[in-house]
Amino acid sequence: MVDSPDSDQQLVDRVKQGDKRAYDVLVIKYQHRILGLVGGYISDFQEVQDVTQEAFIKAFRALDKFRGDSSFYTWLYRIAVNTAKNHLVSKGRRLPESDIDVHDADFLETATTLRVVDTPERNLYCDQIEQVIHDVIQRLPDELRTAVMLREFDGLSYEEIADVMDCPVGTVRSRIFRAREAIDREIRPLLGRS
Amino acid sequence: MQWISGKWLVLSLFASGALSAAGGSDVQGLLAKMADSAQNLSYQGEFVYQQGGRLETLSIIHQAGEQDRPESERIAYLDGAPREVIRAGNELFLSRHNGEVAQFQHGPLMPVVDRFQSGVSNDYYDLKLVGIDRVAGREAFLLLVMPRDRFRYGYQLWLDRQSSLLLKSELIDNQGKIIERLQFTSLDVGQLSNDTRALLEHRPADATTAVNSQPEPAASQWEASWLPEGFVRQNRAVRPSPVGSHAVDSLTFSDGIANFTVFVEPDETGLLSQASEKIGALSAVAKVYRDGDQYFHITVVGDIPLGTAERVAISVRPVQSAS
Amino acid sequence: MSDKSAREQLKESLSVSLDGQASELELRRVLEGINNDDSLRSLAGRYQLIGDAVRGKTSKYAGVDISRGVMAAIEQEEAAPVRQAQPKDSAVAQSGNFAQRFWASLGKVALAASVAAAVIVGVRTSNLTPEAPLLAEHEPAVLTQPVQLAQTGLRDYGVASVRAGNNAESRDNITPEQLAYAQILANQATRERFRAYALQHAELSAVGGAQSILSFARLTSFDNQ
Repeated sequence: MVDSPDSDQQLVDRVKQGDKRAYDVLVIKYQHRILGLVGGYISDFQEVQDVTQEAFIKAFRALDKFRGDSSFYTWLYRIAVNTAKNHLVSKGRRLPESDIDVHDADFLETATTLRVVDTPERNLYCDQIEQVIHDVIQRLPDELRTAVMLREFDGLSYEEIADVMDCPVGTVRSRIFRAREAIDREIRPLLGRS
Repeated sequence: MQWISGKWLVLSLFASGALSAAGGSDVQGLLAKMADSAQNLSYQGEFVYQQGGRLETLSIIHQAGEQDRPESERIAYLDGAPREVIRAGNELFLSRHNGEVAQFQHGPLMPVVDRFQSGVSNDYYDLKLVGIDRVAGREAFLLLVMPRDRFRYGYQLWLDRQSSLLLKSELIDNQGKIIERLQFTSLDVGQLSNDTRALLEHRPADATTAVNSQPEPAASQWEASWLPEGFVRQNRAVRPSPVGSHAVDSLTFSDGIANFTVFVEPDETGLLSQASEKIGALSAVAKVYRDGDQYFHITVVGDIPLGTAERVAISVRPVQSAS
Repeated sequence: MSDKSAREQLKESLSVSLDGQASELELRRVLEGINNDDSLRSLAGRYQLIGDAVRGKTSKYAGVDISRGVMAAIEQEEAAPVRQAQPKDSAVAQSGNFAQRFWASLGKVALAASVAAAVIVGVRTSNLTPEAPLLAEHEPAVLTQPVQLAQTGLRDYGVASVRAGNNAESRDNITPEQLAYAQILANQATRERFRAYALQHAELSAVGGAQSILSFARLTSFDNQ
């Protein structure tokens, strides 16, 4: 699981109540994944950003129709794919032969069928960032590392993690925070301006 | 016998009397014949176009002008979304498979030349006939058209020995790299069959976008105060802008082989940006010009180095009238 | 419990909010914080980056931030549409609309001749060849006073001279969000222009007859990916 549906529900509800700032957080959460997704359809760097922005705007407008039958991310994903495809069609360009399925893109265990894009396009920059992050995580005290990996990699909720690690929820939240802070200290200088 | 051109072949051409000299004037003559044939012969063929990492297939049908009908041609893009360009007389149609049709129309085709310009000049290019090669099953003269300055690109051109039509072309940048390659894979010269000619009659029902030039525009109010040597103004058109409701002034320049166009339009939006981009073999530059309260978008597009396009763009200004 | 500073608590609340486990009060504080405090906003982005990295999902877009542009667009989705001459061709850009929406967000209704300020946004360069002159990089600027867009030097055409000369106070307060949004709109318009003019250039240089094959073959750079 990437994110349990709960982690976005709060924010989505707030947006529906009229608090646009909550949508800002949703954008911050998912912009890079959607950029990578759109980048599988469109090659121009700037154009990818424009189309991604358009997808987020469309999703915002359509939010009152979002019922929560799927996770917010899955729903957003579909909108982004359609926006990218419509953009290609409007420019008279060819569509890729097969779609990037949401499940395959995120849960790439055995990619037996050839997809247009298997992994987002990378460069030295993100390799370096990922390396640093992995190194810092390895050096964390055990309990911090376990907590953050259970949250980020396995997608468990705080309650589930508390269960697994046999500690109070308050401890879980504190450990995850401290792990993130430790990592942030290392990557902040690498990112320069934010 | 090797088909690769080399000194040996050139000498053999001397011996056979096929050429009296391998120098500039013959190349100019061949290039002039190339232009002439492209216009006045009927032919059809398929060719590939290679640029960056891409390889595209295209086809062309060309009908020479006759008494009752103008010169016309059709270029079809055989890869990806089906598109075709049909040029007939003053008009040009670009049809996309999603139904969009862009139609362009010129005024009377009177190219405006500021001074007498014939062909490709030896002053700006080093012209060499290298020898004979073979392309698409046909014998071809290999020509080198190398720039004498860094403001333009170089060419290797293979011209059909029989008809002088272009069979293959390579565009070479100032570092000697090949930027693009175009090569015919098959070419038939001669009258087109009726079926083939029918393809040229294909006219889309409706133009989604009609770009009609003003028929008799007044003198241009804009000029490029810097041009690379040898470039003269070939063409002028005043047309509606693709991004607004105002008119765009377009000036096309050529040195006989390289071309670029300067587009000037007033700004209506108050939002301006400057950019430089290489789009395949083309350079595109967008600049902003301010005149009091009025802003203008200046765009230069052409098969010239980016630096040249930049320099031309920033030299564009209103015509300085002597008052 | 612990004696954490308010800042630390806010950061922890942010961490918890991204996991969807915050209380109503916490979430409200975080939303307020992100809205007002750029550094908290950046922190949110970095926390998210950590998660992406753990899952091996970082991409070349990791440094990109379109959130401001999105929020600015959403802001004035509600603004009244501005009446302006519409471009005839729907097939190409609707950048007339783009600019309308942007200026509406600044509360400016009048455009064109009466516009008091213009926004010249960044110099975007891509695929520069070595002989291209250096241009000011990514300097969004708001034009608030008369400026020499001089043709004297290649290096300071336009944008840099705007920055250098900008010592008058800004007549319009344009937020970074709006500037980011303006950048996106202006870039879109430029791109549409490039494409439309590449086509027109092909068509104009084909007039002579000899060049049409090359001219139109070159357009494949656009319409096909």
